[in-house]
Amino acid sequence: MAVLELDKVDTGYGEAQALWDVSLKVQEGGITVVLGSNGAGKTTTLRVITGILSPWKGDVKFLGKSIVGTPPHKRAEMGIIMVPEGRRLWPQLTVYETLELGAYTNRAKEKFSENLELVYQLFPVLKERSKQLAGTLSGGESQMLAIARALMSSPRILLMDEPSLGLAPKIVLDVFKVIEKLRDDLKMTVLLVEQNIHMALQIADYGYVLEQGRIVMEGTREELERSEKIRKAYLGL
Amino acid sequence: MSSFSELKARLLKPTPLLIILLIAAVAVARLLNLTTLDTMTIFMYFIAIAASLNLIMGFTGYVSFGHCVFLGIGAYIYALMVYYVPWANALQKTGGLGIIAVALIAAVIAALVAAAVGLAVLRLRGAFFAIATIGLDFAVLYIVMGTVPFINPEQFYGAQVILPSRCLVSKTSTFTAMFITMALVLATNYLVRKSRFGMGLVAINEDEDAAEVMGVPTAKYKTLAFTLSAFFTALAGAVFYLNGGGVSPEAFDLAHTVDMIVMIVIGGLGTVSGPIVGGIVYYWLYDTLLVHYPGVNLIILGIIVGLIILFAPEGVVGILRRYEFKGVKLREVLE
Repeated sequence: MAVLELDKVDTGYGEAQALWDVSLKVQEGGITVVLGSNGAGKTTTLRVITGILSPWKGDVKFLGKSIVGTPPHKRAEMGIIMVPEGRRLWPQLTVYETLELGAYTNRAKEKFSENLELVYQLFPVLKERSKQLAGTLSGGESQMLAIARALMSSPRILLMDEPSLGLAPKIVLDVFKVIEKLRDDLKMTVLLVEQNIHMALQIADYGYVLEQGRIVMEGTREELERSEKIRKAYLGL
Repeated sequence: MSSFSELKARLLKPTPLLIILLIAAVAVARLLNLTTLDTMTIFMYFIAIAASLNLIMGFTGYVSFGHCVFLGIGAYIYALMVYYVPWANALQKTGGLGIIAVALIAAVIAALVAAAVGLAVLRLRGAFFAIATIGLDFAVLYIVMGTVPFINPEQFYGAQVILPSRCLVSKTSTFTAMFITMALVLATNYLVRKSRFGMGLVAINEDEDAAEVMGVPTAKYKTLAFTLSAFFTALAGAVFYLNGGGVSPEAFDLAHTVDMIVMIVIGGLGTVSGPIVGGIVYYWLYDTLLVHYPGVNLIILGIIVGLIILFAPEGVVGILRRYEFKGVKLREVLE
């Protein structure tokens, strides 16, 4: 079943249209990727899903029901949780406080200790640093904390906005391993938006390619990897 | 008994302890007649308004620069009520609690204004929000200057409402009322800081967009914090100007907001103990400089405040929070 569905969405900022006729589906328990270069509309797509931006036309469905008009905090309550681009951690809070705040939604409150254990198991370094301020973590640790914060809220679907951004290649590899683990071990549904197409394709189950606000291609990982267009334009092969 | 020992352990943490000590100190000073009632009332007023502004500015980071508008609204509504409404006047004569009862009406009206305005202007961020609140302050100021003199042209010259002797209360009553106001606002600060609501406010302060997508109803919470803050500011304003015997358009002077901001910055933004520490330090500085260097006291105060903001932007409590004491990180115990 599709957990999340965008149906022919048009949107933009003020008068500038950023998305044209974007349709996509995120299947349960898989990693769906949206690929594209700078300015292709990847972040805009996520904003429509989290509700920060409303669609001009078209529909956004979560578990089969339209969520157009539902404010962002209510969507978070429903389980649509984002790991924002550039982490967006709260620098003056400790790691533990950040995780506490991650479990902000009502649905996550009861499962707090359970989730905390899970998160510490996934990221032992966060347990060691639980009393450290989030602003003092390294890039890789920050990304782990951002993911951990999202997991604390028991997400139904995890939206990830360019988790590789600004990280060293070795750390990027770690982050993608974690995302893969989330799917394989926790059966997490993930929508991953990435510029790092090479990496994203390695863990994707299904993918879409955005170009200048339009979906120009979609397919399974094998289909995308085989595509001439992707090989030439994005992978430089 | 476990709930009792739990409560005891909770109250013995530094922040609640500080609140309790402050309240006890004022009570003792009052009983032993250590200083004049007026001095203590003004001192408590400073702490009360600092703690009120802390609810919005300290916790969410929104600088409500026109916040003195709520002092003015509270003070004017209170003064006009006791002037014209016989039962309100009779009620306030019954003592401190009576004053609080009348002042609550003024505070509720101020809170309603804040809620209505907050829904609109809290969409603005940073400097734009600060400017919008200044606009509100001036708007209300001009409404007051344009209407109050017409209510009673002979008495309210220049929009000043000077309370006649039939409306005045004893200094003991205003002292008690200010004491209650201060205790209420400090307790509210503490409860908010400890609550889920307070956690949400802190997240808004740190990164509002991140807070929103993590499920914090930011618009609702900001408005609620602003409304609470306005409520207590108006309460304190009503009692303070009653203590002074009347209110004039001076109540809308932005310098009052500056006082509040300076106090919470000295003490430490977003902490519960900050406004208390800031209030004590600021009141002491203000008083000492006024006595010893009259005329240049505000210049000296300004320089000191500038230095604090340059070199210690986290304030006293913020700095203390960085240190460890006997293996306990003060960050964890200082709210």
